[in-house]
Amino acid sequence: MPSAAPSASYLTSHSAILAFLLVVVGFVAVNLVLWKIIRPSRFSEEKLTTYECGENPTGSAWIQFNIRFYVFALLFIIFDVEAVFLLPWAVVFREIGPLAFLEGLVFIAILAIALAYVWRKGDLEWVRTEDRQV
Amino acid sequence: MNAEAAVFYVLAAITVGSAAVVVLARSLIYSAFALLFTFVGVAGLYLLLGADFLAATQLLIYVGGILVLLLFGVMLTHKLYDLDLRSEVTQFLPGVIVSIGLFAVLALTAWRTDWAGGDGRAPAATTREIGQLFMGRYLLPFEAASILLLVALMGAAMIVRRKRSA
Amino acid sequence: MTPPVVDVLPAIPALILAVTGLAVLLAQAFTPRGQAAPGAPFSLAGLLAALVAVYLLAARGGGDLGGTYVVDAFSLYFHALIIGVGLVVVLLSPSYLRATGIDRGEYYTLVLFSLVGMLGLVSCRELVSLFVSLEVMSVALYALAGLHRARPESQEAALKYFITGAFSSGFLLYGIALLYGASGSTSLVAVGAALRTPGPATAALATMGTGLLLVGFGFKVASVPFHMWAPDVYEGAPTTITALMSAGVKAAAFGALLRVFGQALPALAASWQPAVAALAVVTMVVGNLGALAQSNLKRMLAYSSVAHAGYLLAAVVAAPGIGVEAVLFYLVAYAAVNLGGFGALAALARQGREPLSLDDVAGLASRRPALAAALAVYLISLTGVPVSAGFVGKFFLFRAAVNAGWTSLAVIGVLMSVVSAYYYLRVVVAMYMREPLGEDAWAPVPPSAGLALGLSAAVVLALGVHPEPVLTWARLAARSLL
Repeated sequence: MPSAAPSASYLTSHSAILAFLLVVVGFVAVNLVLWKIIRPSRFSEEKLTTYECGENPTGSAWIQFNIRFYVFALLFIIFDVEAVFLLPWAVVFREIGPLAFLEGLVFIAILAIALAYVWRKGDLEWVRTEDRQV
Repeated sequence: MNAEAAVFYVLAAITVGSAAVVVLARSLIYSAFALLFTFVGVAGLYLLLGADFLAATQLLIYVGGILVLLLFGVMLTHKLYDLDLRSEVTQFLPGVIVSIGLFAVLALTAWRTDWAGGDGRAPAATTREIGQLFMGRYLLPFEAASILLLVALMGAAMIVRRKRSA
Repeated sequence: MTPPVVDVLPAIPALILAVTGLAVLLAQAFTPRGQAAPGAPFSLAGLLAALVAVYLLAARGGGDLGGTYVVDAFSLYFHALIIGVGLVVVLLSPSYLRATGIDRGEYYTLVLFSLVGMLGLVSCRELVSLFVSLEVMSVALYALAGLHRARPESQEAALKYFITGAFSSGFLLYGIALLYGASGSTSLVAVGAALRTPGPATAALATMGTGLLLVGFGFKVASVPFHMWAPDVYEGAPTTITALMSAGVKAAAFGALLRVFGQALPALAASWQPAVAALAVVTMVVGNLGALAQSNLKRMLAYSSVAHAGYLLAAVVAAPGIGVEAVLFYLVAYAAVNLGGFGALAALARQGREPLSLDDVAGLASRRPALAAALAVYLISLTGVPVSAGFVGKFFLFRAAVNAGWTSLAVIGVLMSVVSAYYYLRVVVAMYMREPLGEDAWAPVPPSAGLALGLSAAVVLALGVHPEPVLTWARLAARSLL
């Protein structure tokens, strides 16, 4: 345990998170257990087959994803991190003044250039022009 | 044992336990999902230490971003199920010795250090304080971070791009 | 609340390069397909402007930016060196990129950003800023190492560099965290002051942090046993980028090493000096013996750069005394020589091939007399033969080690230099004593690359004959660190 413990009020203010977590986990657990006890369990082979006119599945459900998803996830993370950096700035720029606003704008401008770059390079298109020509 | 200590031990158990699953699981998918609990556990530990902004960042970037990317990466691999993750163990003994040695040294360092620092109180609102530091003393690294993000974006886009676009 | 006024003037050289990088990126993104973006001229203009800014800053006497970034004589010295490296690399690049078919617009932007990171690395006197600079430099270089998409070696280089780089960054960050824990500050000066009066409570933490920092820097400067990535990465990366890595990254990493260990950790010198000395010994020995076994010229130069990290570490042991000045001087000589060596290979590239074996350079003296002569100058300087920059530089390095009481280091260094003569001069012999094999497969030396190679050779010779001006500057820079 850290000897320099956070203040009690800090912990109290964040204990809501703990309460939420407990409620969420508890809700799922209670329901699962409760209905397991209440519901009748009559097993038959019939129940395992595909319903009505549904197709019988073939192969594994794990298929290889399109690489495109990966590109977008990557781009997402970059701007995700940007958002995190801007959060503290957004909290304080009003009280510091126009200079701070400008400093934040520079940060955003650099990433706007990044956005312009990926847009012009066609990385934001699902089907790239080069692929279309082939 | 007070409530805070109890929460700490629960979080620590979640973090370490799921981290062990990450390393030991045979399926890549299990490892990736176990990592979710590791990240969340670490976020909880941050929160407990009074670093609420850091905890939010951990959730936003690691759970919301890195983990998604990781899962995409896993799903990009060819054979998810046939894949045998265990590589051939070639240097078992040196690996064990180095790991245990490193652990011993780090544990000893932690043990021998008197950790009582600061005034015992966490800063009231870390987000505000971090914002003020970004706009003042740490302005240059703050702006450099955007360059770093730009460079990372360029590198990632270049590597993933299939063909050369002149 | 009053706005914290930050004087950005000292950061102007880095800002110029960053803005140039962004401009090149935009110019490239908005250039129509099939047209060449003006990357090289833009970059050259930006680098020259940055050099002028460095000169003006030097005249103004440097400055300080919010306690995180400082422009003193030490960083100005490195600014000039790093921007000079950038100029030579950009001059070498256009013909090489065309010859190897990797002429991509991102190239110059990434080179400029990596230079920005290097400038930050030598100027930050605060550990978090230092780490951000390091990452800007490294991430740009990871992408550059893998620029050659078609070559598996290039892909391997990028992956290896990225993984070992991320690993070493982790060590550095861990070290930074422990030093912060031990001192309560990330400012180098404050850490230094806090560690001067060590309590038993934090001594273990500080020592551990120092050790982890040393491992992190060991990776970055490619010192044995953290060197295993260097040969593969140097071989696989595009040759101009290899030149940038071997000259620029090494200089910047040593700059940061000297600043951190000189300003924050002098109180712990007794514990890190023996470790650095041990690193120096194994690095010199393994680097030189490894180079002996290489038949690929790029790999040979890679091992040679490992070996030179060892020579430099031998003088770091003597820091913060006379050692700093010797390291600073040698870094200039070493940068010129490596830019020249890798640049000469890059200048000959044609249709995706470049000379990589002794057979490839056999008889080069009769076909490209000027280039062969320049390459001979670089190799002789690497060996450390008198009247070359390498001789003067090694002399100061080893003298620093002897003066600091590490005579054994100097002896090993001299012995290993003798060993190195074999593999360096083997190339010279092949160029001058052997007949050319087959058709002339190499490109005529392009004018801009010729200029770059001529500049490097001139620096090597000038430093060998008349080292005083640079030495005076190095002395000034070393003093500003204390």
